[in-house]
Amino acid sequence: MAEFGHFALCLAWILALAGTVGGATVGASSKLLPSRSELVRRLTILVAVALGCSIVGLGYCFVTNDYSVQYVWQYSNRDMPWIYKITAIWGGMDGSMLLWCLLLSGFCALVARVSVSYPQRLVPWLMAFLNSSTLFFTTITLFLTNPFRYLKHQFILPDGNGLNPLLQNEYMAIHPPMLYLGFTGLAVPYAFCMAALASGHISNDWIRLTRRWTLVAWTFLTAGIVLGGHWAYLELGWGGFWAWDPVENASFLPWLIATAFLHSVMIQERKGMLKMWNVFLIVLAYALTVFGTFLTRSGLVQSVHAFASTDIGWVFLLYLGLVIGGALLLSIFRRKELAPERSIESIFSRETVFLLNNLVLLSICFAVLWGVLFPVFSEAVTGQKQTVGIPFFNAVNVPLFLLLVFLMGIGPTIAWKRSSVKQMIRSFLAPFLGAFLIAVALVWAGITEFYPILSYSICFFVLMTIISEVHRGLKVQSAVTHQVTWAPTTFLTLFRRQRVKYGAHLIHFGVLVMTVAITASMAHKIEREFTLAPNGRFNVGRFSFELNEFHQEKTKNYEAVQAQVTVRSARDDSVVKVLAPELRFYPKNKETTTEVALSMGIREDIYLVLAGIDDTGTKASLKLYINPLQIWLWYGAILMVIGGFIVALPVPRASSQEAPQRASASQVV
Amino acid sequence: MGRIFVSLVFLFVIVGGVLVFQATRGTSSLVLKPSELIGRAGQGDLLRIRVGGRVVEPIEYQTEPRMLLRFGVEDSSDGKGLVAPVLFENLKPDMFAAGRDVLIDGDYVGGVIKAAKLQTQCPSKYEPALPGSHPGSMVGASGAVSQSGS
Amino acid sequence: MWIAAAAIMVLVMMWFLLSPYFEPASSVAQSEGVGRERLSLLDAKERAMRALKDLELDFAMGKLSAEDFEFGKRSLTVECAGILKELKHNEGR
Repeated sequence: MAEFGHFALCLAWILALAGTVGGATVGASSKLLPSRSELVRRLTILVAVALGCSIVGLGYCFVTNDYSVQYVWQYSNRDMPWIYKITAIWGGMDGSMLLWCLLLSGFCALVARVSVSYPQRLVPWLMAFLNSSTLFFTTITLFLTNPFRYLKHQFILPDGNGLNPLLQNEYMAIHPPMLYLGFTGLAVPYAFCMAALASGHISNDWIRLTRRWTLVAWTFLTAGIVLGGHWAYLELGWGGFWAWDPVENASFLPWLIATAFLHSVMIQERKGMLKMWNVFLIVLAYALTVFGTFLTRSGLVQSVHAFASTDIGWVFLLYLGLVIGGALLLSIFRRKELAPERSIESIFSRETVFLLNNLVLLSICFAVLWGVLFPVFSEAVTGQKQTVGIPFFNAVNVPLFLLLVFLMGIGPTIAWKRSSVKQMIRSFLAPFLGAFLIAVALVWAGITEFYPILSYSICFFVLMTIISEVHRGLKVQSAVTHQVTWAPTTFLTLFRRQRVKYGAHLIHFGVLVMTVAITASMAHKIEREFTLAPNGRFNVGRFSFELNEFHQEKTKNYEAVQAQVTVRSARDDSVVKVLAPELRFYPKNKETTTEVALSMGIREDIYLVLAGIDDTGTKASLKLYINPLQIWLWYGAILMVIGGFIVALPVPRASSQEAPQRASASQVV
Repeated sequence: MGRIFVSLVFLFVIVGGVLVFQATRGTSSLVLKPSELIGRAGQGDLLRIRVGGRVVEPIEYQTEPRMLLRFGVEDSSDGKGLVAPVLFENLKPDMFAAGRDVLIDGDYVGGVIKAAKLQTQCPSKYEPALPGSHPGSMVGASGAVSQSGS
Repeated sequence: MWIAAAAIMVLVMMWFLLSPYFEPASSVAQSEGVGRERLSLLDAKERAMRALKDLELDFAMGKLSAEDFEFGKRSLTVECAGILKELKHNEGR
């Protein structure tokens, strides 16, 4: 079936090429023929079908243990459970590129499917740019990282090498696809933007359509990034979830820019301002996803995380140049249409706050980019390579992030266009006093560091503004419908009527919850190492740890030793939880890994790692992390993702009655 | 472009620049190969360094009375027998073994790298040597398959 | 075996691509030419309406003083009327 997969991949490449060239030809022709548009649309859908067949071909090789294929041999063996054989498809670079292509073409096909109702002048160009993106990634997959290569060997090997044990984890099934959905989803707004520039159809239409697609991509990206953090937290055994590694940063950079765009797009929709700025943001977000792929696959920067360094870097740089150069040329060509229709009237307006938000996000993005590329810069300038690590990223990003969270409280509460100082005092005095009191209380409670106090106070401030926003909304709503202000029905009506607004509040609330959790885990984390003999005890904070016994286990895949540790409350000796951290040995890979034992709680996580067992086999060396409020990080992220999907849901027909009129109006422009 | 827009952008460029500059100066570390580090022996200690290299035997790991990992690193590409000793007072990370590439952040004190952070290759980089593979041997779409059967 | 699978795939794809040509001519209505000018007027109308809605909501939620609201509303109403007039004029052409 490798031949079939490879054939389908070739076919996808040809179809994507045809889609790109065809789309551009139809788009550039003076008379728009619907039948040709339809043909390009169908081509776009077929690219996804072909890539789907290709990945099915690869999957079939994995499931049937076809070790004549090099990639299958590398990442699979006979003893692996079938689910890991499937996830091993994206366990290495070649397969992950194929998955990337598939998801990207899936988005393209979806856009092609719904584009019937889009402004028809836009569609051919839209298909052209979508297909060009797929074409680039299929080119890489087909010619440079082909997963269907055969292993050149005298005979077919009886068994494969096997997937790295750290990847034999259920998160492998969901984290990379989520992340890739986020990355590839950002190709859609890019294609919209370029199509608008190329076709000259630069109205509110494309920006309105783009917003929803960006939100979908953003939501997937958020979920992907947090899932990655969660996986690292559970699997890697160092008690943390984010290390500012270049690969993590590569996923974070487009997220920042997409977030900035989602805010600035509101100003363009309402005021006709920042058109050029939004083009810049969209192209930057897409370019950063390409750059991220380049970063992790080129060996440009040292990362423990990166794929094996390959020589495909120059292809990415070439494409990056094309993307940026093309966007630059088109925006210069369309500069008249991109001129702002008005300018910001007052510094006390929501527009200004959104702009500030954009600048903070962009600053964070550039600071992170600077950190990632600093080794390259420093070597080029001084000849001596230097690097920056976690302290740099924290030093720069913590203040910027807190400013961002603070703006999150101001933005939604302040009026559009202009607000008076008197109104602002009315809106912010109570939250501000509340935050101040929180700060005093924290100092009184014994917290002395500056940033945690600032962070908690700001979070409280923002929480107050969100609550007051909801309250005001409920009051207005109840006055109209004569319902009780805080009744659930009023709340539901309000939420339904202003779904986007309150969905955004939900996302903001999620960010707040995450901020509190991150602050707590950065500021009040406890880390201990200790050795326990049978029935020995060790006390940390509110807990006492006691070793009961060791358990041995043997599966087809690995051998394991578990240390059974009872966690008791130090106060009344009651059993809180029995934890079983584990050491695993994978004989095939000759790897020993640790399996973390974790007790997640509302107040804190108890995170226990079995470091080793002494020579007599009776004592366990343990590493313990107590991470306060850690669970709230994940809950906050869940709220963000739910909020994202709520905002991204399609608008009911009734409220977009003007759309058909506009669509037809824009057919011939 | 409005005045407000331009002045805000300007303000952010300045503030961001200062922030990044200060943080870079205060936290950057030298990136060295083990051989370069040994070449500097006798020139005093070096604070804040990052060393990337390959783990070599002997590896000593104890968990009592405190966690202690002692090993050597040599250049990943060509060791030339120059091995820098490393001391890491923490849990041995997963996938740590002789012959693996690691990244060490720490200080070089008294001829020993005192690691504050030790990272082993992440999963996705882990790619085994292929038994007699020839890169570029593709399956032809036409069915001309470069495979040696058994 | 794979050649058969590939052949089926290609055939299905061909059918999918070419099927619209065998169906009765599609009835996608082509509207008469509407200029860029009209499109930007429609945009402006939409924005002004939205700004009015935002203004009213902001006022109802107590984010604006009565004077600011009155002033904003008056200027937006004038703007709206202007755009509508131009649209009508544009339609007549």
